[in-house]
Amino acid sequence: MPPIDRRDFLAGLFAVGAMSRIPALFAAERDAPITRAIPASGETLPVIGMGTWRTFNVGSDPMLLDQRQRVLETFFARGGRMIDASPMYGSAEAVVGELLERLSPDARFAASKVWTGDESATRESVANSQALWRIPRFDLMQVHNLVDWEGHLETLKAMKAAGEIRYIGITTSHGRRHADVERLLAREPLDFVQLTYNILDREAEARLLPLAQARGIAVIANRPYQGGRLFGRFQSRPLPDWAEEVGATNWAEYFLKFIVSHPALTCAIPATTDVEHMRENMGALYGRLPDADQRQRMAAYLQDR
Amino acid sequence: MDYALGDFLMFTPEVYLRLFVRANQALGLWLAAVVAAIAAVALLLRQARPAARQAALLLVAAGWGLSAAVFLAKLYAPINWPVTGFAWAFALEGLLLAAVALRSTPAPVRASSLVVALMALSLLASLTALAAGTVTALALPGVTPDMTAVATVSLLALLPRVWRWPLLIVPILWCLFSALTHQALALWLPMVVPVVGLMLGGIVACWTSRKSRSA
Ligand SMILES: NC(=O)c1ccc[n+]([C@@H]2O[C@H](COP(=O)([O-])OP(=O)(O)OC[C@H]3O[C@@H](n4cnc5c(N)ncnc54)[C@H](OP(=O)(O)O)[C@@H]3O)[C@@H](O)[C@H]2O)c1
Repeated sequence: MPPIDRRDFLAGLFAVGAMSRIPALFAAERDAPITRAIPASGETLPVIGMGTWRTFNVGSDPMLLDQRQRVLETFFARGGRMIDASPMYGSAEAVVGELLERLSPDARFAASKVWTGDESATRESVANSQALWRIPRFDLMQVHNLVDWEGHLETLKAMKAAGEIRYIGITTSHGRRHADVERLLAREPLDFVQLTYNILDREAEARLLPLAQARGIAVIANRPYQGGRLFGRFQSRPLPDWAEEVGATNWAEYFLKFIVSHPALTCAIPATTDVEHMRENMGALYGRLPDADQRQRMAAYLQDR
Repeated sequence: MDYALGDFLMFTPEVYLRLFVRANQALGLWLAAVVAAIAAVALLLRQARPAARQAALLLVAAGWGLSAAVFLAKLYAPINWPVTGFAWAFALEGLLLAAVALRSTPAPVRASSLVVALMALSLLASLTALAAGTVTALALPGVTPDMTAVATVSLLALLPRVWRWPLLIVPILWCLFSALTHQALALWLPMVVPVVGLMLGGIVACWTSRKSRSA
């Protein structure tokens, strides 16, 4: 190997620095991100967003704020847009607000929730979240876990009509209250529904996903990794030989591509504290997706384990 | 698809252990005053004069106030909702301890017991530092809530039983909450502190009072 002189070394460093600053450019060169249209408007969204439960609740810790800034920077650089949070997530909304201000990304899709038992406090809750996120308006405001949804939904509808928020939705998780969710999907003018859907938790496939698809409601999959447990169970095992055929080069892509290849799905929102994990997660935004047969094979491969 | 204890946890172990580093950072040079206060409590409890031992109790009361204001209210509550309530409870415990200090006197403590207690506390104080991998995460009584509770519970053994019970409520509730939190975080080493607090709480609650022993 020829010796590297100082100039070459510095040039190399510059190239690495430049690449890490504009990875979106390189990503774009490699592939176009996979997007889905929000049925209510036709606006497209990248199929991988990010969650903030636990991962972005770091309070005012300067060291951890800087670290999460790098995670968020990677998310945007790799083409991510949707960030999901809630007043329930401790300081996560304030942390996202601080970091959005630091990074001022070109495009973001801000999704939060109303989480209060006081049905008359919807506007106050939205205003509070808006102040924490430091943004003029939310793209999506959801009723968290259907908590006192009647009052909140009425107000959110009025706010949407007045242009104060762009889209409205409801959320659930862990398979809770699916019958209630089904009723609301059938009769309310919702733009989004957020529910738990991953390669092992597939209850939503039976009724909620087809209904959302038929009603033109965008679907966000939360807990795409079962809160991280999927890695604990499967990460030490080998990917199947045919993983590349379904567009997966690691387990993160395997899990996420299974989710977002469902025709009713709009996006999945994995959460992470780790820059490398964020890179892996955003890998699922590119390349090929499995078809229906391949999806079955992917699920079956884990059933055997 | 069901909830596990960990699903209710709002933050990661990393963020929790950083609280100890940040509490120590926030106090800066005042940490020296805290260490001096701990030494003063030990010395005052050895004194024959009741006023000296009452002063020790007042210093412990101040420790509850400090843990409430810095560790709980300023650092921990923003990442863990139930802690706001505990911050108030800690402040109340501080006031209660101060009120008891004005009415009752802890029994003088034997030098040997004091040495054992201080050694045990030093060991417990190092567990968060060991888990975090940095000495800056040392947990001092009077600064961090678990250590404040454990140190106070041991000291309550020196008070008549009539005062112990009301003063045990907050430390025991806190240790229970904290032990569950540590369990959910899978932080087994630092979990020893609130578990010791719970065990000591049980012993101190049942321990024969000074009066009945001397009777
Ligand atoms: N009712 C509701 O509205 C509701 C309920 C649940 C969730 N949600 C939303 O959905 C989001 C996602 O769900 P979730 O956070 O519960 O669980 P999740 O995204 O399924 O899993 C998060 C866990 O996976 C780990 N992880 C992420 N990427 C990884 C990778 N590439 N390799 C290895 N480990 C990885 C993370 O650890 P590291 O930090 O180490 O990467 C973290 O512990 C939430 O953050 C929240 O925004 C909403």
